[in-house]
Amino acid sequence: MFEKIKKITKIIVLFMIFMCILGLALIRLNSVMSVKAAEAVQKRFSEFERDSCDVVFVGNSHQFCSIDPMLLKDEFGIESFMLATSAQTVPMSYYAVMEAVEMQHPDRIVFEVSYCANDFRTVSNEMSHYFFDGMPVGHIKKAAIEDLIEDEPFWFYVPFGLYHTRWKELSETDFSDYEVNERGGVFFTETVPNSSIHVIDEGDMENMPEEMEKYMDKMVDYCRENGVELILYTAPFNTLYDGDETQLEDLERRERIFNYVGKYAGEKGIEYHNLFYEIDKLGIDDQTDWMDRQHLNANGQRKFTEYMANKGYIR
Amino acid sequence: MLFNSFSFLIFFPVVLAVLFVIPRKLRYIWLLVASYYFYMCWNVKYVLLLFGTTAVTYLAALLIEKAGENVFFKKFFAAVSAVCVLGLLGYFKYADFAIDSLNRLTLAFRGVTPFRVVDVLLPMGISFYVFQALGYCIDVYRGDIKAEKNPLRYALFISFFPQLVAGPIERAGKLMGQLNRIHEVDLWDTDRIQKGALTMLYGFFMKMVIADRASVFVNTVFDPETYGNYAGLMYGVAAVLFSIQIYCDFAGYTYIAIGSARVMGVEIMDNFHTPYLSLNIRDFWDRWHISLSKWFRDYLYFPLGGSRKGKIRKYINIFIVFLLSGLWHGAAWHFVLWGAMHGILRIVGEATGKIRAKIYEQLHFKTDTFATGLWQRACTFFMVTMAWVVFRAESIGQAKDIIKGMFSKYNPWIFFDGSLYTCGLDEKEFHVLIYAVLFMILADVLLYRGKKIAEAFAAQNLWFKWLVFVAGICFIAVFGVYGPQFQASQFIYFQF
Repeated sequence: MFEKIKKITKIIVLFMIFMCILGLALIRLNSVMSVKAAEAVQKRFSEFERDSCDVVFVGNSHQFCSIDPMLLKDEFGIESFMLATSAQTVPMSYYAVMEAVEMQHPDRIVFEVSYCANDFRTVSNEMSHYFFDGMPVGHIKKAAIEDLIEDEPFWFYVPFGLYHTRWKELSETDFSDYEVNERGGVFFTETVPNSSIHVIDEGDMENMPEEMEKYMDKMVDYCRENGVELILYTAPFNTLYDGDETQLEDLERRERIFNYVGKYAGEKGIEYHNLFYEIDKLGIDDQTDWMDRQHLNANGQRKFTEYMANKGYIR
Repeated sequence: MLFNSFSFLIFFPVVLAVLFVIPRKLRYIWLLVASYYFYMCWNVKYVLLLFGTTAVTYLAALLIEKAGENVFFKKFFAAVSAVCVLGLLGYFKYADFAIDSLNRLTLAFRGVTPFRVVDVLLPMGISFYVFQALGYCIDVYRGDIKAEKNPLRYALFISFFPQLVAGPIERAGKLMGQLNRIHEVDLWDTDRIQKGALTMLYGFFMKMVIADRASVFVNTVFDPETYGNYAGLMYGVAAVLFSIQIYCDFAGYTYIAIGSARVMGVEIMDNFHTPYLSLNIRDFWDRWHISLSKWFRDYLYFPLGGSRKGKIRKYINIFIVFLLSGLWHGAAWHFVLWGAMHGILRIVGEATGKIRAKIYEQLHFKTDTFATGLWQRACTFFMVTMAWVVFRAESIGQAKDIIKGMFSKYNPWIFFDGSLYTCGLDEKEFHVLIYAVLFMILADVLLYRGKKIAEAFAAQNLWFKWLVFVAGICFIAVFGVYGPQFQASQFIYFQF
């Protein structure tokens, strides 16, 4: 009997050692194959010291191209984190707000609302990975995946299933650690000259898509319930191409919705800044401050961030 | 539940863990529960069919045994069980095929389609468990085995999850005996566990790295909407890749089944033994889907008279067996044609055997050389591959077009100008496929020469075995075909 127990114990111990080795090998494999840029921000946020942020930013690329959290810390003493990710839709931002409140409980959450004009919950399955990949597994991730991902949600918990095919494109950078800004900030150094941005009359309005408003309501209520101030703003951007009539019409439609957001914010009693109407004051140089026609580069980001802080929009 | 799904990655360790810790006497009950759960993961309602087949054949076997020397009752109960389970198979698998065929006939002669198709979902694995249950009844009828008294033990024999949905079609004499003695098995035998795990790993390699990768190319070229865009050697490559795909798919499944059963202390029969190294069609069927070939031999070919009633009758019997084997594989005329092709090849092979031997003798042609063996294997592979085209095609018309197209254009430049890489597999994917196939051929050659790979592996040092497992799992994780946008591809043989 003693011999048998000894044998079984030995097998179990050896099996556990084997599983540890296998686990380590798979973790290393996962770190090589994953798209590090996709998971970087969420991962960094989950590692960020708890309850140490005054402000958390949510939204899409317009948000992270406009605000530099490091600058806010260095020049204005504002502790903040950039939780905006590429193609983060309004429903995703709602879950990002939940995440921010749960992990940091900041005084303020600043939401850049340009995606209010888009009537979709996700841009694509691939882009959604930028929001979900680094997010720690928990009730918020589960709720967000159940709510937003219809097609094969399982792979949002195990993104390796998507990334294992990257063996064909592996390069040196995949085998080294990914450097990410400690506050989730991103900046771009490319410069693309822009033309002046067309701005409509402030009184022109159009309702935002119903479903987006529903998620906005949820976001407002959630912040209120948790005693977090929600600040909305719109960062100005141009049409994708110059001289395209359809593009211009689309931009005008969006601007009408951004004006409606102002009305909506007023009714809800929350702060809103439509920066389309403050373009002249931002000091943005169309020749040097854009990385493309819709996103600011590092120069523009610095000017924009300073303006927002100096005006007290970010505090 | 598929073997190459995450559900199975959770299911199997849980089944194992519980099996290792529960009292020995409860092992078979636990395996029965696990097997029914395994089946229910696919479709809860259809578990009734599994249960019904089990209940009918269980009772029939008891009654057959009870009938003793009373031949009439023995035959009666055997016939009732056969009618019931084959009726079930006929309804779920062949009703629509029969109705569609009748409609086509009446449409051709009278211009009407009077019958409505039943449109039922084909229950997973029904062809396998029905044949297994029927084989059991016949064995009891013949007095080869005793009827099982314990209904739970019998239910486990029919539903044992590793081989439930795609075989091998086991014999009661072998599997039931093992399952009945499962309480005696020393589950902590590490050699057996390692051999089982290695077998499973190789099965996953065949399925996920080779079969599912080859299927991308095959599905593109065989697509009924677009197959006309291809010609010549492109069809040839697709045909060869389908031969590889179906082997790796089915044998891969079988290896996972054998390995998982072995880990639990049960030995399942080999269903494949290096089939593409066969010297002729007869040899091929001794190595391909062995359990089905043996089933047909024992329960159909021999009762029909086998080779005891003269040459002509023997050939007729062979042809009948292959026709039914084709029909067993699928309810469509191209499957029947596939069976007929193998039947004819087999008969021609038999009929011309002596003449060929005489010609070789006259020509002083050496038949025991490496080159002759290679030539014979190449010819057999060619014939089998041509038949696989008929099997894989959606219809006889498509099969005809593809086989005709294969020889109507000589376009060897597809191997050099990159057009080979336009059918879903890019150059790097093709390289992985080729290396993996070479590895598989190496393993097959070793097995053909009687090398016992699993035994040799079990004799190695622990660090080496761990290295093989870790490297193998990582390799499959990276180079396996799975993930989003990829339909957790069912094993081809599940549809039979």
